[in-house]
Amino acid sequence: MDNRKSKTWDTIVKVILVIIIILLLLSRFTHTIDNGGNKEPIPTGNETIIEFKCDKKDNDCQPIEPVDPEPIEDNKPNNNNNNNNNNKSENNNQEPEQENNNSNEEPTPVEPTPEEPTPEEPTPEEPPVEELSNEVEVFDKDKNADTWSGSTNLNIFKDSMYVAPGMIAPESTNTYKFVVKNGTSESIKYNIDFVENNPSNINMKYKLKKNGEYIISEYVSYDELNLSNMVITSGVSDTYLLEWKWVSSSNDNEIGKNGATYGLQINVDAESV
Amino acid sequence: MKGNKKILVAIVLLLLVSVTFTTLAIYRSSANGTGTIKAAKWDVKVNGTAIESATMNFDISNITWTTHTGKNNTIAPGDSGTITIPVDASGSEVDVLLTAAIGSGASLPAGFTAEVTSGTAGVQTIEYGTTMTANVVVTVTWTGTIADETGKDTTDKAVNDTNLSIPVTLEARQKLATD
Repeated sequence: MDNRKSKTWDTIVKVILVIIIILLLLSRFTHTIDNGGNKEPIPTGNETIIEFKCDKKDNDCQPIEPVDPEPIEDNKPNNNNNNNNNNKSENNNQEPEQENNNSNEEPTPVEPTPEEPTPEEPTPEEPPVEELSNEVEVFDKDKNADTWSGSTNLNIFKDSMYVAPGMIAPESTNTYKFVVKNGTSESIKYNIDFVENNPSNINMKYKLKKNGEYIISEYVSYDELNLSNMVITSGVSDTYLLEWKWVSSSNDNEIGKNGATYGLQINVDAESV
Repeated sequence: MKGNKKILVAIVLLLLVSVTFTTLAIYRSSANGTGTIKAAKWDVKVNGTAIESATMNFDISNITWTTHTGKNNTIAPGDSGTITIPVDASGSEVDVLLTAAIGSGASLPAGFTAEVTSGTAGVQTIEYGTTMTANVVVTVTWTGTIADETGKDTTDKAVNDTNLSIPVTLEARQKLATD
């Protein structure tokens, strides 16, 4: 009896395990993404949520707002038709007189009555629908359109005047732009962390703009740049402009004598809301 | 006890299922990038000594006279000479702005003048990418005209066997976009 019970229970456990596996597999196929009205299964494996790519040529990857079509007065065609019909009838009545009157005169050209458009609602011009990439993308919009992945080399510190190419010196300053785009069908929230590698203690300071507006307007250290819980809806991009400057300090000559390197890492983490 | 174990297993399995479903429903991802850069070197030397700002003193022995119109190859009124100070910025990777001026406390005999004649008002730029060396030139002049040999005036005689001291201040710094 006990053996039977034990066997029964083992069978039940096995069945539950099988059901779990089946459910897991089904969830992969049933968990779909709404891609322009077509439901598609999400791809299996690791997903790169953050991938910013803007195919537009404008500076800000803002979602294209559909342009409201010009309102068309429905009455116009009918009115015109009616009017034309009336006119036609009038013209018909007048025609003989007109013909007589015009017999001694050069016939005035009669413009053909334009064909009236059918009174159907014209299809409004729909703005091109940007396909969702199903990913959250980060990319350097200025020079490198490749999406950040893993540890990407960024051209944050561009050349400065009166300095050897590829180097910076005290009072060097410039900007760096990057874009965070939500290509998924859901709203996401993301954090941006900045990490500095500065063994020689270069006095590097930063400002930060988001979508053209300062969110950090005074030069601050890298650790004051961090952003958290930034929410963007599907298809929307946030454009960031990082302004950096080596502010002169008393240890600059020492830095110059020994040669120094400086690095800044930007981490973007995103998850669905 | 066996029954309790089995119940426990069932509970764990159910928890596993619920956790699996909840985690599947959340997108998570991350990306990062790194920008690195080197700091340009700074190395400006005068006579082999690194300087940022320095005052160097010169006397008559440092002057290379252009003319010696006095008797026995001596100098006389109207003669002039230069002091040349070589500056080596070849170890730098930035443009260098070099400023030289006659320092306070110059001791010159009457009739003598000293001025920095290199650059523009003593300022010159050493551009990165060139040989990155420059000379600071101080020109010393004994103004006036020589009296005839037999009629040397008192001023000329007073200069005889005297010395002079010319301090020259040098400042080398990185050239900025605002300069």
